[in-house]
Amino acid sequence: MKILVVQLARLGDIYQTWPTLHALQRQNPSAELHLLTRGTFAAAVPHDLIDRHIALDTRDVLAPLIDEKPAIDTSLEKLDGFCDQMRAENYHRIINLSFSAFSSYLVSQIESSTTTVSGYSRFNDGYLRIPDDGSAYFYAQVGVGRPNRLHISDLFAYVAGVELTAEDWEFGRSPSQDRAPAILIHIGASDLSKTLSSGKWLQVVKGLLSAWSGEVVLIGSAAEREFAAQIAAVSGERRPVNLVGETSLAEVFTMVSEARLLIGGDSAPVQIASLTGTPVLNVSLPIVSFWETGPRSKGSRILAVSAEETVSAEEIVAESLAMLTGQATTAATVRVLGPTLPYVEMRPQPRAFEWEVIRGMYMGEKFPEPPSDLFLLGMKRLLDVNLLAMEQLEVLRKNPQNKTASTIIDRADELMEQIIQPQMVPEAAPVVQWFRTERLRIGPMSIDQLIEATHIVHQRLHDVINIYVNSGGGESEQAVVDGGDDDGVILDK
Amino acid sequence: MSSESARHDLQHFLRLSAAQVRYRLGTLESKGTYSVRVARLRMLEELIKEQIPHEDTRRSAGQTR
Repeated sequence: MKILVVQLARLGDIYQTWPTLHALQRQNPSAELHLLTRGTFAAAVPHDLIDRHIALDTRDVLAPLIDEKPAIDTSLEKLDGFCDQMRAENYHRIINLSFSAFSSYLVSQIESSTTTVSGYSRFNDGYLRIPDDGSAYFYAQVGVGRPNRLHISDLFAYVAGVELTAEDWEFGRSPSQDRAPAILIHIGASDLSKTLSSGKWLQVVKGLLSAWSGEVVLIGSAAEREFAAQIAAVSGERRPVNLVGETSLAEVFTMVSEARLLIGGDSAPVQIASLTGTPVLNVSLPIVSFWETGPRSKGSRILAVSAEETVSAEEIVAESLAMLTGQATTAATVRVLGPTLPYVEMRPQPRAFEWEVIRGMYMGEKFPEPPSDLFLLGMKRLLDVNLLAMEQLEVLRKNPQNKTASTIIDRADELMEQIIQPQMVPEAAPVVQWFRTERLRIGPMSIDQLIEATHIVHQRLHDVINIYVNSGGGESEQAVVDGGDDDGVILDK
Repeated sequence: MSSESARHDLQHFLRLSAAQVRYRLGTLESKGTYSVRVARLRMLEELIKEQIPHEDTRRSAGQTR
């Protein structure tokens, strides 16, 4: 059996794919496992886990376009050649963990009629195809600003059809007693919205150097040298070791595996630390969701801050020292018990209600009590809009050409979108997102089949809304969203 | 040429390319059929968009039937 894993996203995503690759290898020992990534990120490929690495040279494809007269046909020829080469592999399984429009088209062009696909692809009429429930969950509920709390690494495993165990997370670990007395700081300035200011990092470094006798080492890419220079210019007897722009990815991997502690934001080194069991103090700014991309290594802590001004350098230093000496947390938002265990919240996090609704819909958990009368009102409005749409579907059943009915159904979609806006009832968003995704999953079929399939999705929405509307908000029944043959429980966690 | 200037030029060419790809797609899509050619043009369009700042590369735009 030949399996292709498509991971065309960024460096951190490739590292977050490692546990899934390990599990695939473990569960399919005789399979040939290929991994497709961007050529730029080849250094992050785990060659021990795969039989073949395929690199998509994006720069080579786009190079003919960098001209006043872009050579589009030349770029297309390169894409043609790549697709033909991939299609000739005749994969039994393709697992697309990229979740992008580009990868959806690519997979559709390289799968054969007998390939089992999970992750995004395309139908033969070009519409997005989401064949598996894990990818449908990803489409509906994952991303910054959404209330999902499942980690990307676990979602990757779910889409791939594997269950991660502790051994799937063990790469190049040093036993804790052998670790060098070094704190690594990844300043992560390639995206300034994800990191602290140079001034704050400077204060953190000063604080660490004065309170701890070990080394403080700055790491990062060449693009961050100038930023790092401002931080490294700390006055005093002791200075940090500035290796920003001086190390290869492989060297960073080794350094992380040997360090006592890594401090950083949402970044590739944090994902590396999850693989090497290195504790991380993750300073997480609102632009990222720590639930999805936070550290998984035992002993890690997450400081989720609403803005840089809400966390002081002293707090970061104190938390770091507490981690190094095994002290209880002082300011951490979340503690990490290990890669196969859920995060432990040290203080309640926003949007807990929406997360509980997601658990109700996808995981068979009990639906939460409604948070407000406004929410109940919103659900009643959704019910009205949904019933209107279902009535128009009945009209279409009798006369599929009825344009008025089609227009009303489109308008119903717009009304649902308005109900979940931030100024209206955003708590209902997970329900509407689930509904829209299930409608999206309807494939090409005759008009009669399309109407019937659409009606089924509307009926399922009706069932979910009725949990709140029919009960009058007094009791929330347990209910599941029946996604298929697995008795309605779509995800295990 | 400064790196900022080079980056600006790169963005210019990419946007120009994206517009030309979109024009070709519009012509093909108006005929109503989805072909390998259309799929490859869409691939190229998405690949270009990924290189343009502030384009959301995670969300795959889907449309219901």
